[in-house]
Amino acid sequence: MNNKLSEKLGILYRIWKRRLFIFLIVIGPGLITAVADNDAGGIATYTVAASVYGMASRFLIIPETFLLIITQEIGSRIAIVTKKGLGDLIRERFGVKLALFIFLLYFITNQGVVLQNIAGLKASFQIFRLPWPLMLILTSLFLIFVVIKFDYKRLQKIFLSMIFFYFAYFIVAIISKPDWGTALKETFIWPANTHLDLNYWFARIAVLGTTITAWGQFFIHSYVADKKLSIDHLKYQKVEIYLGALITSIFSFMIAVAVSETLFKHNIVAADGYAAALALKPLAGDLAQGLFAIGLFGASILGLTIVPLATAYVFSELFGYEGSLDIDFKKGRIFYLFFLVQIILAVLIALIPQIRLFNLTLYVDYLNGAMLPVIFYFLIVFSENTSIMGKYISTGFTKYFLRISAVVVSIAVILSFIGKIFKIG
Amino acid sequence: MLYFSELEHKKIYTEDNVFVGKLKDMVFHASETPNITNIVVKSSKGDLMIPLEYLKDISKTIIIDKSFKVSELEENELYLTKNLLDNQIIDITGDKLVRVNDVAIQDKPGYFIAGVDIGLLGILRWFGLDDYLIRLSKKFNIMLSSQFLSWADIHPLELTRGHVKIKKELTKLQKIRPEDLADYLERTNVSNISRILNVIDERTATDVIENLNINYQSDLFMHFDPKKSAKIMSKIDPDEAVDILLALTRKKRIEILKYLDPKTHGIITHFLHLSRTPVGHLLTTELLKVPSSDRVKDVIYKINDKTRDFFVLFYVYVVNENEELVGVFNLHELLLEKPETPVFKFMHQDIITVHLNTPEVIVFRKLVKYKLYSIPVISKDNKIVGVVTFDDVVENGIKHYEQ
Repeated sequence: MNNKLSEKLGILYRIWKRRLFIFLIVIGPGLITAVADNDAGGIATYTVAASVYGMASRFLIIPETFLLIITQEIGSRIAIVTKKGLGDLIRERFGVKLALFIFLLYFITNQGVVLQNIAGLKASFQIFRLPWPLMLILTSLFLIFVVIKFDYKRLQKIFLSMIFFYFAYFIVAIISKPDWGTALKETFIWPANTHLDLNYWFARIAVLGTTITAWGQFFIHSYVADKKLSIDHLKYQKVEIYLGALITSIFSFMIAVAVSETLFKHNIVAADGYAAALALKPLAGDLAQGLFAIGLFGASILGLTIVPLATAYVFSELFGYEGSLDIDFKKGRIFYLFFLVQIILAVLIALIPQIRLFNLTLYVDYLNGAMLPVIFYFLIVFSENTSIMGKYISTGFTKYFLRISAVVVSIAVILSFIGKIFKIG
Repeated sequence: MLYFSELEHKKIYTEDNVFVGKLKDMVFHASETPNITNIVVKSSKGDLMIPLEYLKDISKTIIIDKSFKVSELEENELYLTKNLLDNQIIDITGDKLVRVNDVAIQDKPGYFIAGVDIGLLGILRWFGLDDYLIRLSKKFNIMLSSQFLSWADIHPLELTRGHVKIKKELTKLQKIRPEDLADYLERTNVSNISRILNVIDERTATDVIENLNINYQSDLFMHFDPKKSAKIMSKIDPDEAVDILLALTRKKRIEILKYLDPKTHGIITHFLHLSRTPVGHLLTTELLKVPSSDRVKDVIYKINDKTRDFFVLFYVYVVNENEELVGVFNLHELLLEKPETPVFKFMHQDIITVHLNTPEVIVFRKLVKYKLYSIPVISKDNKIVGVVTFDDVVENGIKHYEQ
């Protein structure tokens, strides 16, 4: 009896060991993309929104997580089945005119996101009283060197290890001694006071736009294609994406808790991440401020690497150049060129003293949010086309949830845009 | 030469002016000679595939036969937009190079795909910005030209498997038309040309050489050993051979002549003797040359401005930035084009020319053979120095008759 049980356990152990092994192979794209969605710009947006609306800024976090899972899952599924990036498919199916238009919009949006990350990096250096102009240049040079020299595998290890920086926010949230019950209640209950306030929805879409991003959608696609996974990995890739989305949502929830418990409760409206960190010191102490800055640093580095890479991938795909982390600089000149251009441009802008970078924050995320309906459209078209996807087309819940979300997000974007036009000034 | 970007969405009418639809796509034969076989028309009744035999004319609109029939996709036929345009071009090792930005279609005679545009201009053409950029860059003294990949470089078989793959083995180049190959080779250098000519069979090589411009011809024969040169010489038209020989150095010429078979040797030396009666005295410098970027309206303005006191004007010659002769068109062809069309779009690039030391009789023979009103005379560096007109031929004929 006992023998049989141990035999069974042995088989189970072996099955699970094999599964875990495959899971470790596929791990990367889903987790990295989801976590990098909470880049410096994301943190700034969460912070600003939470300092104004408290936990109501994280209202709808559950459907948002679902949306993140589904869009990422579709992206990686299309990439695994077709072995092509989203950019490849757009160019091949919709022609050069639309491809160029999408790229221009995408380049501008991503340049904004890169700027946010440079700003985040600058803020974290400032909090630690480091000479930020010098540090910015050195860090950027280091990143450029690493991305060009390292291949896919080594870069991925670095990306994954960056995730640990986010645990700083966990600690900040705990230090702020929140009332978890109230926080959860406020998160999940309809924000009665604000539901007609268009500014609230503007902020809410910005939060959505920083969690589910245009670049994130293109990036997971390209990154999965670059990883060269096979169809057998599809199941495991799905699990990785669930995990990534879950972790990301928990991180963003923790940031919102930390800010709501401190700034929001004391009616302090933070204009950006730097201001939030400064305001945190008297309310939660030196440690909280330091941890906040460390989290910001990690997020900035991750965003600063991933987002220009996402631009470079898409340019290579749309216009047909060799684009992979595994190629050397000579072969992938154009691929690396776009990576370089975005970082260098951002550093140069950041070094102009008159420019206040975090002012851009909400607007960039908003542009991101506005691009989402367009990307949903492509995802729907590609994932439901049998000539592209064969038997792996989207069906059932995924199909309809994505369609409904596309409509809801589009309406929300238009509404808050109208709101902004009439309320600005 | 037509570009697909300019043809897409063109309206299609029957001869009796009934609207059929808009051009959506084209179907071509995936082979070494990529003839266009069908056009795909987007009509209110869905997509129609109409065989090319019903096509009457492509100009502002596309005119088709009123009794047209529709057909189906046949084996080895591919869609231009689906299988070629916007697709990824990879090289033989599978590396991505660039995408197909536009497709160039050669017309007259028949329609076939000449090659694909892989440059920036190919992208801008879709927005109608290519001419604008060319004009703009000219202001900064930059000459922009299309980056063009000849069909000779593309694997037709791989195309049917869904890849636009570049072939690197030179042996495959010989399957294309000699004229196209010559065009393509003129864009590379002489050592490359002789390398390619060495791998293709002799007959094709001869045809290709005949189609090359004289500079390349003479450079090539300087490269070849005299024995090989003689072999090729005996196969090409004696008129051409004489011109080439006259363009070479005297030493090289004598060397080659040594190896010629007696019959060819006889004909060619006879002509060479005649070269002491060169065309110099027949030459008139009454001619109009324009840069290839000129538009039709610029040319018409120049005709008004510069040729008022000309005896007669048959052709307009097109020169590049180095003043080299690159094209020609007649006045009728000019009048058929829209005022904004640049001349490089419709000029003939295969120009019949003679040299200053070409014997008179060969000049006349060429005029008659190619039914020309006048023939340009070019210098060694391919610059036009004058023209010989057909009335000289008539005069000469009468002289002979009277004798």
